[in-house]
Amino acid sequence: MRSAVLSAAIAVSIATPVSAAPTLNVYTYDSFVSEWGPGPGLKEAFEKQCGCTLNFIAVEDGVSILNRSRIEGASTEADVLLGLDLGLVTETAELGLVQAHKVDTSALKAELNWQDSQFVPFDYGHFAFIYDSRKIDSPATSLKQLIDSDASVIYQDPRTSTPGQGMMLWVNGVYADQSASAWAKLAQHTETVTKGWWEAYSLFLEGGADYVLSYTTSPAYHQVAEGVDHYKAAQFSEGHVAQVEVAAISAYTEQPELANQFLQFLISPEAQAIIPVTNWMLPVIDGIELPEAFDKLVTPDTIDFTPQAIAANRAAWIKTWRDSAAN
Amino acid sequence: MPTLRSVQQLSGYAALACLIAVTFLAFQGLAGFNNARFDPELLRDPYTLKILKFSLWQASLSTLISLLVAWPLARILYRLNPTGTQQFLRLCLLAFVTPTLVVITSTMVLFGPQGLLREFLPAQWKLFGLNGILIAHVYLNFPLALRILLQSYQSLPLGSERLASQLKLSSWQRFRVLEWPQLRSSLLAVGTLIFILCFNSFAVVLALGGGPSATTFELAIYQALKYQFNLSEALTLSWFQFAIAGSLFALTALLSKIDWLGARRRMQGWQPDVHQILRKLGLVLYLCGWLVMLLPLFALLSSIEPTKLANLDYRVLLMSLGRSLLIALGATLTALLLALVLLPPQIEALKQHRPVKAALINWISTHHLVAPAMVLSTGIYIWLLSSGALKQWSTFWLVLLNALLVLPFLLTQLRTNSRAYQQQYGALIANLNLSLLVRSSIYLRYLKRPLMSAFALGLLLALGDVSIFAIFGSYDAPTLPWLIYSYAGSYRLGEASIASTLLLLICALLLLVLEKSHHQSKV
Repeated sequence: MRSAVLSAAIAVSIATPVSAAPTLNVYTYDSFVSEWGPGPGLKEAFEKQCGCTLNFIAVEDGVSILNRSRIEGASTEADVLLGLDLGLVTETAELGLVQAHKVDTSALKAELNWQDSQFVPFDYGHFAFIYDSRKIDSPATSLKQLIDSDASVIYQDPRTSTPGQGMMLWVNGVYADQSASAWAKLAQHTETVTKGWWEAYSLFLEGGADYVLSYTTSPAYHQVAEGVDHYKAAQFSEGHVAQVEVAAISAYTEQPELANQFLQFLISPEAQAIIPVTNWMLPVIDGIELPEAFDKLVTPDTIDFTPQAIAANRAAWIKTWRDSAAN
Repeated sequence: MPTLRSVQQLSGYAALACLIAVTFLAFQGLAGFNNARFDPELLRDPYTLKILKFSLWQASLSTLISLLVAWPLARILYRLNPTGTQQFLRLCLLAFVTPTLVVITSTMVLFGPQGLLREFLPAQWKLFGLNGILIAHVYLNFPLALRILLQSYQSLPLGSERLASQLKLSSWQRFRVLEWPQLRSSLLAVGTLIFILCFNSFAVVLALGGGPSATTFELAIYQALKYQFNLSEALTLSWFQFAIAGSLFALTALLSKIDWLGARRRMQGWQPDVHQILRKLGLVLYLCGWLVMLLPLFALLSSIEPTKLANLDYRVLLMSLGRSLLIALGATLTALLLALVLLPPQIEALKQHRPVKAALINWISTHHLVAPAMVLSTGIYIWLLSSGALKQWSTFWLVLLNALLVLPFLLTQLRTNSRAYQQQYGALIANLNLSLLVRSSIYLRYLKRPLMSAFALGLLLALGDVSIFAIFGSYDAPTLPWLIYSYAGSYRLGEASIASTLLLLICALLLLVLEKSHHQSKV
């Protein structure tokens, strides 16, 4: 999960100090760079070893990183795109926005079975609906049950947000050609569809809805950081969609060496120890010690999608969602 | 040495050419390039029809409710002239010029999940969607309707008022014979204006829409461009929006008839008799009106907590404010310059009894009102993309497009006085054979007050911009409204309220300047 933060500034990354040291610009999503997110810790650790300035530039969510890079094309400032996920890698690669990395990925967990020559994973997890167990006694046990219910739901826009896109995969995985009617049903009790994960989660914590789309790891944040355990992830019998968050080097960067160095750092034990307890997702290498709260998380089955299948259907699925969720 | 007239003519025509060039470039962009083409298939897309239906539906409801709220209040103000009427009217004016994002913040503070009024609302209450949109639209627009309807009431002939009361006409008869004929045209005019404003609504729907079920054309264009980078869809939707909004605008062309700064005239000496019970009922409603107007202000202030004030990132806030002021200042000065240059040829044409030419100049100067901000911005944006100059030029266009959109309002502010100047002093000054510099300084000195009010008005309008910034702005370097949007979006209402209050204070200040100079320039 990305850090559940309510009080940090959104634009952490505006000013770039004037200095001779090179600056590495990293496009990412807002919660990543918030005060409680992994951004500050990673910045401090990486700047110690690179002799450079690490500059995060934040947008609302993962898909927005792709949208923005696509619009900017060759004039982009980005050296690294951080926070895309498997659902976007094929499209990003086909658009020629990224280049091959030189990162040694041999330390990655075997279960990730990582082969990609352009993208490097930095954390992963399962999407899940989070609820407040003080308000809800018997949570939904399947996606169908949730969609058939009248519980209020907040999720994210699949056009801007990777969790939103995960939701889209989930509905299409479970409902296949019945997805349109499922979206229409869900729209009846959708509280709001937000641009990014942070907006959705903030609104949920304000009591804005019964369920919010987030990650199975979200409850760990509340246990570790706040010492409360009433926020729980609902485990669905159909299985959950998994997310692998990735980073890649911009095709237009002028400092590929530094960018490679950053990606290598991102999967080092040092960085991987920071990410789980700030971004609240699982580490991509073995041997990282996690707080106890991680042992208590639900471990759902995975609904699999290949990046190619997502890339081939994304536009059509978005259209179905857009048409059916607009009643 | 160039004569004054030739300089005036030349600069005037140069400015006209610039205005036409912008429109041309926007259309060039909308005509498409490479794979971005007009896509007639979208016409048959159910989504397009749903957007159209929703745009019309929310605009109709917003208009209807605004009028239903404004009308009784206007009648009460007219007939009872209760204490505080002037203050109430000024509050209305402030509400109408309040930047949308400020209203959005107070709507969320009042009606959101943790809202101050939440416990008075039904359990199933949902702010995001039609509810939120209507609340914000009505709050932004009914004050305008109220002022205009009151003006209309105040222009009822005194004689017929007396006659009606001598004839002891019943309330219904009074209304039908006396008030309705007078109000009809105002209702139609202000109703159409509100309808257009709501049809073209962007920020309110962006922040309070809550998903694809509540999307207007303006928002759909933005989403096609920024959420999907689907240029074909963006430019096709822009054409639709242009066709609909443009014809709505052409159908009415009512803006010029509405003097929304007016309604300051003192009440006439005569007061109609009002039944005691009706008077009390009216006063209760009047108090409710005060409550409705003050509640959002109260909401903003109440959600500013000392801890939030202490921990606020003032650097971000002040930089956003600085950016907003710079953009608004740039846009206003550009627009003022354009206005000063565009007025003389128009007045000259009138003097030469060439009304068609004068009307043509006027139309070109104000024709950007017809195309909603989003359409114009989208066109220019696509054109810039196709020419690869987006990055270097976006700030320039951010300022210029804001300038073009405030220009029509500035022209209205300046036209009368500029014409009066020509009539009074034109011949005299031409005979004195003064240098260009001296003439200009005399002219500017004469126009000082209207220039002042035009300046304040320009700043006021440009400070609230969200649409153009959404297209051309860099979100890492937000303006104040965009900062409020990102705070409110992630439900940080304390921060949003602080930033909103700051913006509102600046607007109130500008309004004071505007009212003062507007009033004096009329004397």
